[in-house]
Amino acid sequence: MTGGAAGGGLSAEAAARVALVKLKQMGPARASWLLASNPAVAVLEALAAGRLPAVSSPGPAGVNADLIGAWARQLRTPELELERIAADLERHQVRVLVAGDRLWPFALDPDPPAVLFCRGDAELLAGGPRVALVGTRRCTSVGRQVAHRFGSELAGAGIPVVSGLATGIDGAAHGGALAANGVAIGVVATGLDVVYPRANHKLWDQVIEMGLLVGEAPPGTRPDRWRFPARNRLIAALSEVTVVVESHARGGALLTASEAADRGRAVLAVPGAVTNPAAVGSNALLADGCPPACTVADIVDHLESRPVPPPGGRAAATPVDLRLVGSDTETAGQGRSSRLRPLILAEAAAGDVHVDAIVAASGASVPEVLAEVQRLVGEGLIRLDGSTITSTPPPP
Amino acid sequence: MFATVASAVVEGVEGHPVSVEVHVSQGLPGYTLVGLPDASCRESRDRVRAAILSSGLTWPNRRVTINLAPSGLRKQGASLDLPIALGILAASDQIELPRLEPMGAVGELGLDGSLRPVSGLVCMAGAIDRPQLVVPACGAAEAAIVRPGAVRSASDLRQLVDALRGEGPPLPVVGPPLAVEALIGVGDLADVRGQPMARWAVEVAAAGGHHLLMVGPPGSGKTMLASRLVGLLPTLCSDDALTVTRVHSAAGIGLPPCGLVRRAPLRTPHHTASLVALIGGGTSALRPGEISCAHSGVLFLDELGEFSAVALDALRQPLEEGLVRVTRAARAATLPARFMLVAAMNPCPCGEGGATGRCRCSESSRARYARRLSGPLLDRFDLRIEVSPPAAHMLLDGPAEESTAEVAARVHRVRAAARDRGVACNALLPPDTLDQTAPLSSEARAILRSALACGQLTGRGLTRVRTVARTLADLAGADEVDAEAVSAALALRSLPASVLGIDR
Repeated sequence: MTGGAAGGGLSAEAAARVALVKLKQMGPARASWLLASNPAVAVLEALAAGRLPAVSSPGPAGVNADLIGAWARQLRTPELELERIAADLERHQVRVLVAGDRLWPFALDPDPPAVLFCRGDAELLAGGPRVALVGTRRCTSVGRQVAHRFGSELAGAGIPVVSGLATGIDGAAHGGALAANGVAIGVVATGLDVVYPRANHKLWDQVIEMGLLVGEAPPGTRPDRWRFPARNRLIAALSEVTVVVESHARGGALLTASEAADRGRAVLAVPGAVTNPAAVGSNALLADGCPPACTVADIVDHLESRPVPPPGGRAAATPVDLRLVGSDTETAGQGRSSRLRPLILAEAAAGDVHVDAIVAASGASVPEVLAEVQRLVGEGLIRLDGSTITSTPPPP
Repeated sequence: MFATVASAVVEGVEGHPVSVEVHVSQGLPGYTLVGLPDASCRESRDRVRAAILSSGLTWPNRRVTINLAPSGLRKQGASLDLPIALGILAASDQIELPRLEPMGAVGELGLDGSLRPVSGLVCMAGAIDRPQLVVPACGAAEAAIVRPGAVRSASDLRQLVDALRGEGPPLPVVGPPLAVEALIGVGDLADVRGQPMARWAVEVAAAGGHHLLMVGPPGSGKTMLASRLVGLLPTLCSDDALTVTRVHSAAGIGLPPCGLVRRAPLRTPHHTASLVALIGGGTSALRPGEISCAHSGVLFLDELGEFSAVALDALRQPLEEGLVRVTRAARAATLPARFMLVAAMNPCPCGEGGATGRCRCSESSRARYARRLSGPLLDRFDLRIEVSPPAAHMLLDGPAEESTAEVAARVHRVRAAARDRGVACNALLPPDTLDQTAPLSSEARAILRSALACGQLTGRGLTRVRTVARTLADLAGADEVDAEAVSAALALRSLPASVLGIDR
């Protein structure tokens, strides 16, 4: 591992840090421990010589002579040469931020990452306060809608939305932010070139194009299970306020919330229906004293620095509108359809509803209900999947 | 001495005439059977010999040669035992040859000389053109369907030989089949409580012959609904009844006591059924498979997700054409397969669907489960519904639901309207005649136009929606297909999210 400044704008320290995190079995905890008292260049020199650098504490478990030997061997391979690292980053269009850089967002953080890899517009880290919207992968359609709406209203108000690019709540939050042409910052546990989950690759590309994708793992890192809790702390660290939209009794979103609380940041939770298993965790946060986030105004109130509101003032809190204005193309069945219409919209707004429930509640016949449902689908107000009605089309 | 007896074998659902030629001559005792007999046919030697001896007759101690003509046609099964025995007896002068002339014979022989029933009698009877036909007593009613008045039944070889010699009473003539049998084993629709959407979808499917897909968690009543659907169908017309009887006879399925199958059949193959069992074929007889046995009836595939992808794919062609062509290297057969497909499946491998908190499946296993159902097969289902478990209070205290008889009255009315249009059911309406048979109101046309424009419907889907809308209009008693019918038909075609593999 040669010292000195590398070409392409990558400082020696930054390159050394990248090489450090590229070592196998080198997770954030071990990297932080080694870097606590030494610059990365010195750490690498020590490891290459087969010994530990000067450390002030015993450190995490598992760092034994075999591991150090393995690291020493790996440091001798050509992949960890300075030039190779710089070229590799260039090829993946990844920018590297380390402590001391102008855009480094973790200046006062107790547990910062060794390196922050970025794809997209890193300047977005210099903007105003950011809000994290997090939640479970197995969310309900109501949770998805709320995440989408909050994401779009926050981003529309000029507040970047931070989330994990996972399926479920995270994806919906980012989808909303992007739909409002706002800023989405995605924090991932894999290398920035490894799309996970595969289903979200379009979202991934859009976040890179219109926002910022960050992570602490070098390019090529696979989605190891243990990296996700570590990623969650970065989401909390990057945001002034963390909002848990929906969470089961146990979940990564609750970890993000506790990381935020540890850093003294505000944590809010969206109240969920008591019958909703996906809201058990988020409701428990409310019981523990987190303020509720029923509208975007609740969230913005907790920001200490006010963002510049968009023209037209702060987005007003509106419940899902029932759009009771009847369509003027329908002339047949006025009486019953005008009764069915608000009933279907109201039931759908409360969550997924089966056609049978509408039939039971309205007393209309099945073909009448289906015809009205199809009319509402045609107007884009509801979605029909099989026999289940949902309120608005879910975000892509 | 030489004798010939007329008989027949079954291939697919067709009977082929076979001429059993027996030649007994001087020479060392021997027995040769030629004409491509299969294993069970070749075993006839021992059966026939024992049967003849058990009946008190003599086995000729000379050279016996038997030819099953035409020699290029494979003969399978033991149905040729009786004609072989009769031929040997005639050729050894134990019965008079002229007595055998006007007769055809089919039957398996037991070692004690008794006559055993064979499958496919209906098909065979149609292939023998002699004035009289001797068949085993058990199952003789089958043959009488095709050749009324010509069928004689015998219970053992001795009885038959005595009748031929004039030493015993003549063989009894088998009468024509009796009235339609009662519908047993099919539950009443009134048992289905509290599931209005599913009940209604079953009514629409029965009325128009539309293929129905039900998606729902275990215990939601999908199997119950499918079995009650058959009860709604009208009795078969005589042409269909004859075809179904021939198919069931060839497949070896027991026929009702009256001999003719008058009720629409319900076939429920298990999901481990092999491709051949489902489609038909096999190495020897090209037997009809489950889809042919469901002709003019219902093929119910429970646990659709558990069927092999190969088997499901093989269903597409018969669904399109209404028949299945089974070909082997040397032979081919065309089997009828115009059935109504009803399928039930769980929304995901664990069965609980995408409902959060209850589904134990990972996203990838759910996506993989949804992928098993290929797009083209899914497209064949005109009605796709989700069956939700009924509310508990509806099961115990809910109002009385309509019975099968009440719903069947409406279904029969719609079927009659379809017959007036020249098809057995609305699902079979040819696309090019839809403008005459299913005229759209201008509102309906506009709805379809916007559905086509936004990509919700393909051209094929458009035809299917129009036929379903035609059924809905018939159920409502309307001549013209209006906007409500078209809207409901479009809604019935929407796919459950679990089948699409997406998270709702």
